[in-house]
Amino acid sequence: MAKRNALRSLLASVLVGLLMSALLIAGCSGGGQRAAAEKVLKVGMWSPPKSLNPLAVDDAYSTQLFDFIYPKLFRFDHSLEPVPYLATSWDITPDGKTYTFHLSPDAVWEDGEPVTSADVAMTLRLMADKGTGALLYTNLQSIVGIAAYHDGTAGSISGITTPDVSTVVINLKEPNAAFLGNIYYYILPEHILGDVAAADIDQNPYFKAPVGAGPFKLVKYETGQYAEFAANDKCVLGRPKVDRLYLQFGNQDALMASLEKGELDVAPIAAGDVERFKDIKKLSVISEPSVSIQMLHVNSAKPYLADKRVRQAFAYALDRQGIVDTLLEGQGTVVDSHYLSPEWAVSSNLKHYDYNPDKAKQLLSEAGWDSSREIVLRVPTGDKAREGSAPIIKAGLESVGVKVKIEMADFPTVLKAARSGDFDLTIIGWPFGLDPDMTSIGFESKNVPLNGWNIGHYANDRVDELLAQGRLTTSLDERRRIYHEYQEILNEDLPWIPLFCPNNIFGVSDKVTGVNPITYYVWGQMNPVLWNVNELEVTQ
Amino acid sequence: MLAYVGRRLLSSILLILGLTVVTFIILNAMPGDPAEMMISPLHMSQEAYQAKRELLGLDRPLPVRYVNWLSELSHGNLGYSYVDGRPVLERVGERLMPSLQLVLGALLVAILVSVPLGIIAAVRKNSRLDYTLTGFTLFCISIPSFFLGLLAIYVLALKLDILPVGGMYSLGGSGDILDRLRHLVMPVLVLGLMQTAVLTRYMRSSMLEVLNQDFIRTARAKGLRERLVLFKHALRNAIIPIITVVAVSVPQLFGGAVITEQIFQWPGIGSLTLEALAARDYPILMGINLLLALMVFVCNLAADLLYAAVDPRIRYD
Repeated sequence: MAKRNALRSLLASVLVGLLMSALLIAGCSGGGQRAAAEKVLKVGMWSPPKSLNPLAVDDAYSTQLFDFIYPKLFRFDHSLEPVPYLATSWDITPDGKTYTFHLSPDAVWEDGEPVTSADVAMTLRLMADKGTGALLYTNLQSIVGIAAYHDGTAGSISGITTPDVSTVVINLKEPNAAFLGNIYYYILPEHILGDVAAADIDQNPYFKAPVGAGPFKLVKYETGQYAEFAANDKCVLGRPKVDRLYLQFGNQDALMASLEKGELDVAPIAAGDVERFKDIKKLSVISEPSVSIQMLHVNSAKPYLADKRVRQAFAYALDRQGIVDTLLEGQGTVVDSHYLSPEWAVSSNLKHYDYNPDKAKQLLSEAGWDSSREIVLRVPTGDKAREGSAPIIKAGLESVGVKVKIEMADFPTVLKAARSGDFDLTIIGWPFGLDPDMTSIGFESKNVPLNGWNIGHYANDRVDELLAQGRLTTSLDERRRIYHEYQEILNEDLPWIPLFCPNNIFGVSDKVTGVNPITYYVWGQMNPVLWNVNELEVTQ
Repeated sequence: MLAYVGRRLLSSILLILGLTVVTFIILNAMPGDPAEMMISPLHMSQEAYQAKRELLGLDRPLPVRYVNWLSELSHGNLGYSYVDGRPVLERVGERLMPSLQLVLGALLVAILVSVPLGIIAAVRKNSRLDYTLTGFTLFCISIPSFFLGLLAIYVLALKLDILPVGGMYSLGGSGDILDRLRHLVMPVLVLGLMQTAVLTRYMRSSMLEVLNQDFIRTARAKGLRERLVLFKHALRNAIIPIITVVAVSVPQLFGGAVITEQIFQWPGIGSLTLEALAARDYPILMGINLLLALMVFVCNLAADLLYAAVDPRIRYD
């Protein structure tokens, strides 16, 4: 009996101990409550920023954070028109080769120092400097003297001058209608970083506690967890209406749970959860078409894929609407264009490739497709809709007599294979939007890797001609005509087959007012709800 | 004893060095290119690509890069992250404490629960209680941690609303110890439960073996109280193999708590490994690898030394 008693008391103490500690911890309310008067906005984001240094990284997650703290020369408004930010105005000479920016006298850094032309000149210089990795060099290539500086044969960029503290003049080698979009990036303070060698910038303590001039100041950055911001009273755009902003990083499931629980005010929602979230009170679901298109890249450098009839046949063989209906539960659109924004550049004369296996078979036989050939579809993992669309694509192609082998691998692996030409088909998403010239990275013949992303080695002389004209011409009417023709050629040639465009889906608490989401994509605005973060307000 | 530790240290250093060579080669043989991963497709150009490769030192031959890494290491520098340029020591270091909290918490729960349960199951061998415990451990081992984690979030955070969904602290509440504890509960329980199940099985069989030994019969024959027989004579001997199991699982949990860390947004070593892999951030991966190798060494050594401390029959000369 003694044995039994000993055991019983042991078991009892284990149970009581566990229960006690659980109750103790669960019973305590969460700490860190702030004064009720403070207006706090809490936003969820899928991935943490890679770095706080805009010269080192330019991915969508990092730039979302940059957008809060670092200023830009100008912003794009809801209709993609550039509007003042640091610069109150800018003049472009009639020949389209000289841009003069006039900085606002009210623009100051968080520490009270004025924003000057030296800040802008230094930032552009660092962006082109090999020592920083010259991440955005491509965008600056039209500036006079930029190549000499990049190669180290010149100590400064001759095309950038600062006649006085509030004026920046940029000279271009030739007109570039896309130039404003090209220099749309974050400005850093010269009074702090001016004396730092380019190669040492990355290690500078500045990027641990950046001094910005954006709408918010970075208060705390908990790696992999969250970033805390406070309203910047001195922001030239005006003080934001909320006092404090949190950006929480996490996976989709966790963010949705936090949103449902009220721990977050804004968070992305998966397509499959839209209906469930619509039933939750105190929340509204925003499901807006995005401009990010999932494209089936075709390697036209392979002789058997060089015939455009083959690529057209592939398009007809795919049940793209089926993909949108099943995988995205209707939260997306089938598209036939290679870019959806800006609106003026999108042609209304595009051919729609409906789901038509018979037509596909006919085109394939015309092109003399060898049905014993097996082609490789490389699919990067990580995006559910993209992964899920692979078997549907395979089934569609096999039903018209094209054998397909799916190779799944992580993103870096697929990227490497794609850029070295080791693929027949691959699926990658593209967020084109600010200017149609952005798309040249994928279709201009000079942009084959290593240079750009024309991974299928697509070459069409007329396309090259149109892209060159589109850059040199500043007349909007002229550009409209050029890009419509360009888009119609892509629609006919199908160097990439546009698959679908998933909606951007966000849940927003009813506490948040002033929400006016955008549909286009530019740097720093991955979350369309945060586009006008200054005007967002939180009611209790 | 000291000589023993010295010998172990020497052989381990050679082993770990060899390991870094192998890891370095394997990492660099992985398909994928860090420079390519770091430039947004829309900004890709030959100039940017080559500048990035030069900046990261990727343009140099592999052996040169390894020797550089090694010589930096001898100065206590583990290199810099490809992605944000911060020192590897700092990047890995900031993940160490979160991982430590998680792993130690989980092991603590596991030991506190599994040792008594193992004893009970052994003493009441083949009873209904024993079968129930066996069933429980089987359940814990079989259930995938992602499922358990999501279930815990659904029940404890969403339905009962007594615990936060994830993360290490509430937004803005990072200084508060109670807030941290509340965030620690779910990940520790989920990670701990599987360890509990494993340890309970070990404890049960170890205890059974000891209980069948002659000295236990002698102790009982002497008329000692059952409590004394169980906890003094049997437990002390039965717990020795458990030390090894726990020591081995420390480094394993450090690198292997990936799923738990992902589900609960815990910024530990596991999630850093995933991030670094996705970016092909070799210096970070080398750093983590070195850390885990060191940890295996330290934990094994600690287990061996602890052996000697709890079991007078074991001596290292």
